Amino acid sequence: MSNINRRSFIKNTTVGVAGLSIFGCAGKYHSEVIPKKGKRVIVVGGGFGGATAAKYIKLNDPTIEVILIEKNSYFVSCPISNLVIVGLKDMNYITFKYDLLEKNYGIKILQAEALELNPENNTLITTKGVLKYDKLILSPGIGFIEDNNIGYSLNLTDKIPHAWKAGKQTEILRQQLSELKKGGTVILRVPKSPYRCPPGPYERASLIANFIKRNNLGGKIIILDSNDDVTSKGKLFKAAWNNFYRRELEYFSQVEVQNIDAENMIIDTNKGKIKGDIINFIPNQKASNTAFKLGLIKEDKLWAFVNSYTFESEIFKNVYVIGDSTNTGSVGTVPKSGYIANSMGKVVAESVVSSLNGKMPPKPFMANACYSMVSDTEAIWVTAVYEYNENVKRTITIKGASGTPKTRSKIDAKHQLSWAENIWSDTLM
Amino acid sequence: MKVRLTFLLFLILTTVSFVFAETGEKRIVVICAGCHGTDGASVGDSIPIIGGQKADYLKKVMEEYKNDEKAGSVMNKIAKGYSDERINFVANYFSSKKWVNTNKIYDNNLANKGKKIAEVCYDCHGKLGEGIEAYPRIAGQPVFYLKQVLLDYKNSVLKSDEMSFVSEYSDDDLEALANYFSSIRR
Repeated sequence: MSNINRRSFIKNTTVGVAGLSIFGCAGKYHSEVIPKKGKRVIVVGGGFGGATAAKYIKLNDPTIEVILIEKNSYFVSCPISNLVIVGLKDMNYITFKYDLLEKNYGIKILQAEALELNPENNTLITTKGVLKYDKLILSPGIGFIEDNNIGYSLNLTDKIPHAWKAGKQTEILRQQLSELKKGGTVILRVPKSPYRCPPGPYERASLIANFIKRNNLGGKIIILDSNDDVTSKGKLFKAAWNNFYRRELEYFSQVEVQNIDAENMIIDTNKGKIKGDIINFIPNQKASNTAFKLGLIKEDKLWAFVNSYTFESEIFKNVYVIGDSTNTGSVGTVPKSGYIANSMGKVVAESVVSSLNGKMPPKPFMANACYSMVSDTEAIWVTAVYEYNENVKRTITIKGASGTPKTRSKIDAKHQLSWAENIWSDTLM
Repeated sequence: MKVRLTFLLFLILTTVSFVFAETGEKRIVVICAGCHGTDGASVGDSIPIIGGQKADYLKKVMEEYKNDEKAGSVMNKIAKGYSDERINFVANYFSSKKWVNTNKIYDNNLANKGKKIAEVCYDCHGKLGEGIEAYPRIAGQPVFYLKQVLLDYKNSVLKSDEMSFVSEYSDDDLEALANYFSSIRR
């Protein structure tokens, strides 16, 4: 990157100025934090997508240098976090270090945040300095939409947690629930689709109803769903609610929240006002702020559009986007789930390794398997296998290879934990 | 000259398509790892280890799931995404991987008790539970998984002539058997 380019680039972007002030030292800003020698792939985001991509690049071609950039020092899993919220598992069970990726595969872990991208020069600027790359993979997760019109801002989340990114938010909601008074009301707002983990809000609602019932609290959980109906595993969730939680759970669909009064804990909706002792407001979602900051989102769009075959960004060459930040339609029919992010990590790993070695990558092939608890002992699931289809140029469900079970079961509750332990090990170990 | 060029083109094309097919097939197996662990080394206690398992067994099970001849969880759906050719590839791939024993604990007393009645399994599964042809390796699988399978046979959730002997055993005996074979970790 020449100095002239650099200067004009900084002048034209507010992010650049912010970047400078963070370092307070132009020298560090210019210097490469890890000088690039051979072929290098940088992965931004150490979730199910990014960590899997980093690991599988190394499994496919150990000679490629892989740097994984993650702002947090720990991985905290969203899957199983609903069990933590109701006290069935603890935070330790869903929290992992990144050290095994370093030890077992030689991936370099850099705890930093991506600040800006200079795609012409294959350069990424982070809070720890500048990095050059041959290929850049972004798996930055989701972002939340703040809405002044209804009085929702992320400043409220200490009092009104979303708990839709696992970690501190999970602990806040768990703490609130543990202090729920007798006869108390919990309000859970389901965001407008598309959002991360379609069955997640309904699993959480089921587990909270189960918590209220198990502890004889006599209160209830009210689901305010902005969608027309339960968006995933609908029949199975409703059967469980009908069988177990007639007293403890109330479900309302097509609910538009009109105002949130955080001080008095009152939500105003098109169906009336409701007061809650706990409000778990899960906001509408978009691609992560990082994806916006780095210029991966087209004007007026909320998600990153990618080439369904390679996951290369529709905007920049050599930049790939996977996971929840991707626009579903541009990929195909896959949901925003942890299992899909893990699958995408493997597809993009082969895609960039093939490209770096001058080969044609194979056709995308992915799977989803996702278990949801409906009580403290029983679970349900949804699964599908997907393959790239030449006619529609998208990755779509293979006919017949998808579905849900006939009913909930105890063994599937066991499978959920085994599933989690295996996907954690496949992603991080 | 023209012939040589055509031949060269043919060579390039076949090489490219070979690489394409090979890596393409690998992609259909790596997605299994989300549930079964990287290269089939499952660390969960209800989902079996498939890395290093007998190829004939894996092939048979995938076909049974695909044709709904065997009850399972997500596998009845997933197997339908695999052609016979792909099932062969999946079976051979995982079979070629190193077997990694479960790290889930077993009960030593129950394992000793199980050893005394384990002979009934030797004909099909081998003296060390190592598996023979289409009969799976059971040594080193998690206790929970083995116990669940035995109970499923006893309760007719799963059906097989060879496994019908389990009806003559108590649930406690089956648990002891599960502990014994899980304890063989070599």
